[in-house]
Amino acid sequence: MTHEILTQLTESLVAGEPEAAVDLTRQALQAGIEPLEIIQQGLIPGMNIVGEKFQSGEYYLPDLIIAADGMQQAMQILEPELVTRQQKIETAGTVVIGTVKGDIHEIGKSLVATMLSANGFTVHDMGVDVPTETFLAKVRETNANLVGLSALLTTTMTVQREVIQALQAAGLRSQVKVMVGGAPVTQSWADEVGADGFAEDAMSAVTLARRLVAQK
Amino acid sequence: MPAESQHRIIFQPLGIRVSLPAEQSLLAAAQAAGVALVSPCGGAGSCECCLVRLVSGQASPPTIIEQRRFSAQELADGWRLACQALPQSDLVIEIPPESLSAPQRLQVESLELPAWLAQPPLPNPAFAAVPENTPLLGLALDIGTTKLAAYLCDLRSGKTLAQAGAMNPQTVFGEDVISRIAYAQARLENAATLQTRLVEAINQLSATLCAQPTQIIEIVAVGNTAMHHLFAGLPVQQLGVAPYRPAVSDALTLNAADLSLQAAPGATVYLPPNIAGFVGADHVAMLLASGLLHAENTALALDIGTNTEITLAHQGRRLSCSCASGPAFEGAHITAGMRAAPGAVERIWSDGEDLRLQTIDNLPPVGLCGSGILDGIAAMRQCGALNRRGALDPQHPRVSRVGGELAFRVAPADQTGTGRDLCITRSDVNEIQLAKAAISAGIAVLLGQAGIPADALQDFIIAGAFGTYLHIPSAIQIGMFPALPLGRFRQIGNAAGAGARALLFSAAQRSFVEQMARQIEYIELSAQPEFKPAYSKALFFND
Repeated sequence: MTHEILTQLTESLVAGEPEAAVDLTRQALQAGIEPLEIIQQGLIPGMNIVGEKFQSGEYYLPDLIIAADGMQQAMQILEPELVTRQQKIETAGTVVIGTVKGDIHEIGKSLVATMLSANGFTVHDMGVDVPTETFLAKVRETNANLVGLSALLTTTMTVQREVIQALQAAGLRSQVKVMVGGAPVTQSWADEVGADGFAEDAMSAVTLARRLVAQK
Repeated sequence: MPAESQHRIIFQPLGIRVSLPAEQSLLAAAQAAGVALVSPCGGAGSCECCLVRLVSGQASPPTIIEQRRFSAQELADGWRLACQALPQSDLVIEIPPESLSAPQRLQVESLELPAWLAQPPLPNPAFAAVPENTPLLGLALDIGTTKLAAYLCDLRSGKTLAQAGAMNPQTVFGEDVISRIAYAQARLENAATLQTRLVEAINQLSATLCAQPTQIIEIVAVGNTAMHHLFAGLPVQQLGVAPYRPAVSDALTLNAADLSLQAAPGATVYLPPNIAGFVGADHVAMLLASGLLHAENTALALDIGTNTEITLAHQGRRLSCSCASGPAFEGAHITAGMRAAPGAVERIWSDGEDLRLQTIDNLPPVGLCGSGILDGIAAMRQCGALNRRGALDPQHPRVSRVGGELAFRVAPADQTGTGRDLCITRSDVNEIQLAKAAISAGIAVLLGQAGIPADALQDFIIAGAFGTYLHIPSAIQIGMFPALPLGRFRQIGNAAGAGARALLFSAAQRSFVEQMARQIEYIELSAQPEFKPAYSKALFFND
């Protein structure tokens, strides 16, 4: 049986009310609901509805950003609880994601990271202006099978190629599938730099990640 | 999606886009897009007036008329007659000013210098060498990413003798700063091309303004950091990557001759300091002219563009930031967007019963410029066609499905200059939400850093072209500006140009801005944890 409070949590994400989502997450914990259940029956259904509405053209980027903001804030409350209870989310794949060195655009990258975690991926978000070596070290450490590289400027997208070449040089390229994204990035750019895939937006990135993981 | 036989044509430097079937000439494309090309012969190919330049893409081979009109070199450079050339792919077309029958509105009008700025004369030792009966001329330049403004000044009286504007010829190499930086670093010779084209345009402006540009003995040029660097021949590569450091922040004094500027022998060019990679000398000049550098009260000044620079003055501190607001208010990424040219809708308001429009030169509307888009969104909110999330109400009488999405009809086809409905689509609303959220969040972060609420602002100063024409209540309605009493807002026009003129006359003002620029605290928004929540909060409209 689904708790009423979790239904409300789902609705708060869909309605674009991140503050309500945070309140409801706290209330759910106080009511003794397991954090894993809050995530799986409250947050994830909410993000999935938002994602569907985005893909059908009903929702736009602001709706997605605001919902992801609510999900992220709620996860910040829940993650320590998961750790203390030694609970783990079953993972669809392990992703190392970040905005490449020289680029500090965060919003698109974080959106992809949030949508991937909402869809069961274990996401290591390295932030922005990430040195190539940091991507490599994290792939080694986590044994990741996906890498996501974001670049929002025509002046920084060339760094995506550098990271892919560095993965190759370090002998890690066969272990991971690489996805590239960002406003100036296109499929032909992805092909040119030797990425395994390109996605237009955060929702297509989830579809792409699933497809790439299945290929392995 | 356009059918395969459709091609997308962008007319630069106006920034107008149109999709047309392949069998129509570029002249027809221009007419359909509301671009007024000179064509007295009506497209017969006899007047040879409708010169355009093909910047990128494929067009039909030159006709006999064109082969007669242009040299082999001109043809190789892409020169065409618009009435003869047919598109064979998506195209970027440059329209030289002489081919436009109605020039784009260029903002050179600017505040007269307040007495306190114009007073102290420049103690330039070079003056002594000039005979008394010769005019002492100075040139103030505002080098914008899309527009140039030039002011010819009498250095003895401090008066502005003449002013003129032109498009920045670099626009065809990239519409925004980042694409121009990318162009400059793509090939070794590109930075020099950008510099040469800019200097040529400035020399043309000087020639328009005065019979003998060699009488100009002093020049002040302001621009954003990228324009400043490209003009001075400084490297720009590092401006394209974080942390976006300027190669030079301090003020520069260069020889006009070294930059190939037409001026008196020995004339110098003064470039005021830059604050950061995206807060340049033009912002410093604007802060000087707006009085913000001198302000003792709590005040904020901003200039809205693809990057919006904001400075807050509070208790002796000066805090600056730059927000990536995008080109939506310049008409880009907006379905019917265009720059402020004839036929652009610049005001939309409700007379209580219906919407009223005002267009530039009172022509039938062909598109929306920044102030028109802003008013349009505010009007949509007011009449209930748009909810707080930015979704359109399908039941509203002006809302219908256009292509794949809902759109709000600003003017019906029988009233427009294009023969099509003029609409604001859901995607356009989305672009404005992203832009206004960035500006609103930038303001919020600066206020937060100073620890004051928005209503502590005694003075809210808006500079720049879009800033001059925007309707303040609309900006408040959509949540871009805080809801202060209207009397606290000041729209001051091209204050960067006024600041450049003040710096032309006064050594004291130069040392003052140099000293102040060093004290300005630059806030990198992306490094502030409070930026993202503020941005996310500002994406929706106010209830």
